[in-house]
This record gives sequence, C-alpha cells and structure tokens, in this order.
Amino acid sequence: MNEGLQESVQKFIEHHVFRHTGSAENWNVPFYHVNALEWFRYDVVMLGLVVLTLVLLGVQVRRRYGTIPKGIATVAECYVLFIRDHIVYANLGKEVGQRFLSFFCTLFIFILCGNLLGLIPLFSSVTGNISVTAGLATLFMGVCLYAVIRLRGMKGLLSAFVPHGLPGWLMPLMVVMEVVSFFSRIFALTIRLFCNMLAGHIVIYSLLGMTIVYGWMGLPGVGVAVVMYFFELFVAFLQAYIFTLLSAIFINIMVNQEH
Amino acid sequence: MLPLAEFSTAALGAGITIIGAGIGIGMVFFSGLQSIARQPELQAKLQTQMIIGAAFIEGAALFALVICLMKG
Repeated sequence: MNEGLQESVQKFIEHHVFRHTGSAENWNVPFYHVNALEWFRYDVVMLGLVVLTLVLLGVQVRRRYGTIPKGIATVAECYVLFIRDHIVYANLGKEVGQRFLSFFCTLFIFILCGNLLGLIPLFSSVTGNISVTAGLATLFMGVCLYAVIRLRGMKGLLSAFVPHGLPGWLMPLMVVMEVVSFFSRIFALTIRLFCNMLAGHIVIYSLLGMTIVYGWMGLPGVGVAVVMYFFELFVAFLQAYIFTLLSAIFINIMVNQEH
Repeated sequence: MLPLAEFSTAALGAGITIIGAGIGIGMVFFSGLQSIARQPELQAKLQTQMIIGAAFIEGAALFALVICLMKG
C-alpha cells in the first residue's frame, strides 16, 4: 500500500467534506483583507444555487397553475398534498396545521433540494454543512416558540416547561429536564441531518479512493460506490422526510400539552 | 494490514457506537414489523412511530459518532 497516495486521498476527502471549516485565504483579494469574502465559500455558492433552483421552480409552478394545473404544477400539488395529509395534519391537526403548512412545505423542499444537488458530481451538499443544518434547526426553534406563544399565550409557554401534578420538591429538577430536552431535540435535528449527509459523501469518496490507493484491486469499490450513490438518493428523501416529520412532532409536543 | 497501534481509539469508539445503535434500531423495527404483521390496518400509525423511535436512537448514536470524528 502506498502511504503517500492514501494521505492524498484522505486530504481530498477532508477538503471536499470539511471545506467550510478551512481558511478563506484562497478566496481573498491579495494585499487587502476583506472580511465579507469570508462568507463567499463553496457552500454559500451551493446555498445560492439551491435558492435559485427553488425560485425558478416556484415561478414555473405559478405559471402553470390554474383551475386545472398542468405539467409541473400537478407534481407540486401532489407534493403539497403529501406534506399536508401525511406530515402536518396527521400530527398537528387541522386547525393548527393550516397555519404552519407553508413552513413545513418550504422546509422539506429546501432540504430535499440541498441533498439532491449535493449528489451531482463535484457539487457539495449544503445540508452536509453543520452551519446550514444548525440554521434550519434554529429556524425551527423560532417557529416552535412562536407557535406556542401564539396559540397558548405566555402561560402556555410556561406550562410547556413546567409540568404540574408533581410533588413540589421534584419541580426544579423537572424544569431543568424539560429545558434540556427542548434544546437537545434541536441539537439532535442539527446533528442528524448533518451527519447523514456527511457520512454518505465520506463513504462514496472513500470507496472511489480505494482505486487510487490499491490500483486495480480496488476496482470492485467503484461498483459498491455506485450502489451507495443510489442508497444516498434514497437517504436524501428519507432525511428530508424525517426532519420535517420530527419538526411537526416536536411542535405538537410543545403546543398540545397533555399534562 | 495496519499495525494495531495506528488505529486511533476513536475508530474503536465508532465501532462500539454502531453496535449499540444497530441493536437499538433493529429492536424498534423488529417489534414494529411484528405488530404490523398482526394488525395490518394500523400500518400507517405504526410506521410513523417506528421512524420516530429509530430517529431518536440514530440521533443519540450520531452524537457519539461526531465525537469520534472530532477526536479521530
């Protein structure tokens, strides 16, 4: 085994996957340090691409939408109905669900678009960047708190964190537990999406890198990489679905307090 | 191929994490599929619950994997 080759493959994978944690020197203007350019990284370009795709998609759907939708608008209608019936109304109920339907539709298609664009060779997955997933989870946290305050008032927000019907000496412990579990849910949403996307890319690149390190002996790795690619295609849909579903469930837990 | 000393303990930790997560998710889907086989009319509800359970276990496992990744 060639140690140098292995190291270069490892470096390539690290460069591809952890690009957002690297330095911004390569993007900067010589002799003059511009901080704004630090934001102009590969993942930001990909984020812009995702937004551009979604806006173009929205324009196309709007143009074809009418009493009888045709073309891509029928697909969009199926998509919205799927989100509405299987995720939002199933978990939140009709009255609450109607208010937040657009949020969940946007969340799902944004994550799905980011995941799928990352699967095009040489593109990077936006959702494989922990800052992006943390941003999405923070957005969800804001919507979650907004939903509780809007529907239940400040009293509802308080009762979401302070369960009643318990002995008094247990109360401080339970409040701490509830607050920690609220933040751990958001953290779990962040890490789940990030890790799944990251792991998929690392696996595919490692399998392809085997051909570089081992030569012809690593050729079966290419076949496995193709299989993994199609598995990642499935994971892209699954993770978008799980993120949206769990957001709906968590909002339901916060809003419809049983205790 | 590699001598044992070259493996970091983080890699060992990742392996142990996957054992636990695999057993957990396997048990969730084991009992879920059994219930669906007994009562197919509850499939939609059970499937959602299964995915939630699996997602929680997966989340906990991924915490550990991130630590392994950072330390490795």
